[in-house]
Amino acid sequence: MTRRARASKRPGTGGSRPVQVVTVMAAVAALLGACASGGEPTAASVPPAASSVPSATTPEAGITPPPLVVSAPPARLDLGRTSTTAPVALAAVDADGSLDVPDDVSELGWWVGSAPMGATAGTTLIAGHIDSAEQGLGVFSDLRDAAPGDQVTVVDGLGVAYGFRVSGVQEVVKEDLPAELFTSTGPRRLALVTCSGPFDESLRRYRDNLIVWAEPG
Amino acid sequence: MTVRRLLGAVAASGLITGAALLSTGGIATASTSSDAVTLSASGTGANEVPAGSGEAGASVTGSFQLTPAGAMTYTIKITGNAEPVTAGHIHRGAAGVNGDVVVPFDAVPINGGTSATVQVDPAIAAEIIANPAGFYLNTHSASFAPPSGNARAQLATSSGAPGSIDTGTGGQAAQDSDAAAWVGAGGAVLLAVGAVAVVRRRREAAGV
Repeated sequence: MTRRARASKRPGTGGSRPVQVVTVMAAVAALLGACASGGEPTAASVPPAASSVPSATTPEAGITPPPLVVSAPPARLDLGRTSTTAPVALAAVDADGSLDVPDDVSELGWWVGSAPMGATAGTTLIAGHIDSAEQGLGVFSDLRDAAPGDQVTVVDGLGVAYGFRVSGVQEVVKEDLPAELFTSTGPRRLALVTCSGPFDESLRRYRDNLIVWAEPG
Repeated sequence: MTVRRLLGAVAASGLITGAALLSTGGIATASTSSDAVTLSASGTGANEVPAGSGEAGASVTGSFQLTPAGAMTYTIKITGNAEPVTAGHIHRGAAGVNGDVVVPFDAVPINGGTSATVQVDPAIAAEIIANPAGFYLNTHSASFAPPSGNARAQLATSSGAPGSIDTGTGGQAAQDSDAAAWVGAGGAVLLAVGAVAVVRRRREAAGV
């Protein structure tokens, strides 16, 4: 059975609470019903046709415009299985060494040191919140449903869409993130990252990262 | 104003280069050839020179794809700024040193949170690719007009990999997993109880 846990965002609980089984069963039944009635994957949306194709500007006269750059950061991600769509912003590394993922759990962050769209090699790293104490479940809570073969579409900042297929799902302790996640060489890959595993109430932190790997296709 | 969303408005902006691609075959595969080098920049108002001239609380992050021929895609996100951006530039200058503008950016895509393209003098492009640390990005607004700026960041060919990716402070997802386990266990109990009841009824019906 496919696990479906995403519902509308709900407020954070601020800590674990005993769960009443009856309540939970009712909620799960409602979610299963929702899946049965509307859980079919839909075709990934694509941006509308442009009215014009932008060209590189020429601030200095006399320069012949070179071919348009065919590379740009990700701007939007579509998860085909769950019809989840989310904007993707630039994400640098904070002074404490952590990735500066957007605070808004409905947004995703592309690590600026990773491969942009249009690259022919390396990993494009997009991370997003699974949840937040203040905002409830995040858009990447849907990653828990990802399975090999799922279609993923990334639209870059210039409007070009790139198709990927999920090739694997990996769960690792945060301190043991694989080197393949941060490489700009080697096979062309997309890595979608969120949190997973046990939650430490005192640190307000999950133990693991969930990595969904996808390849062009 | 704080510009938070980077690219939500791409479709509305009309800055779509993939129109022909999409209309003829749908989605491209991620194997498009490109000789562009990706540069990034990340800094704050505290990095402006002289010290104290930047906007307190402002941060700027940029990503640039630049070919040796000078074709550049730029994407700039600024947060913590109080006013709309009026201009953005790449200047020549190492950390702590101000210098002339070498690449001007359009303020519209910066405020709109979109990517855009610009032609760079190939000679300048070659210099930037060879020594990105010798150049910096900054943005300006009405109160932070040149030579001051909202925030400043030196260019780099690669940023250090993040040491951690922390994307959850709520614990709800873990509770969902726990709940699913409880439901699974509860369902098994209910099935067992139901099976016993069926067997009992059949035995009663059979007069056993």
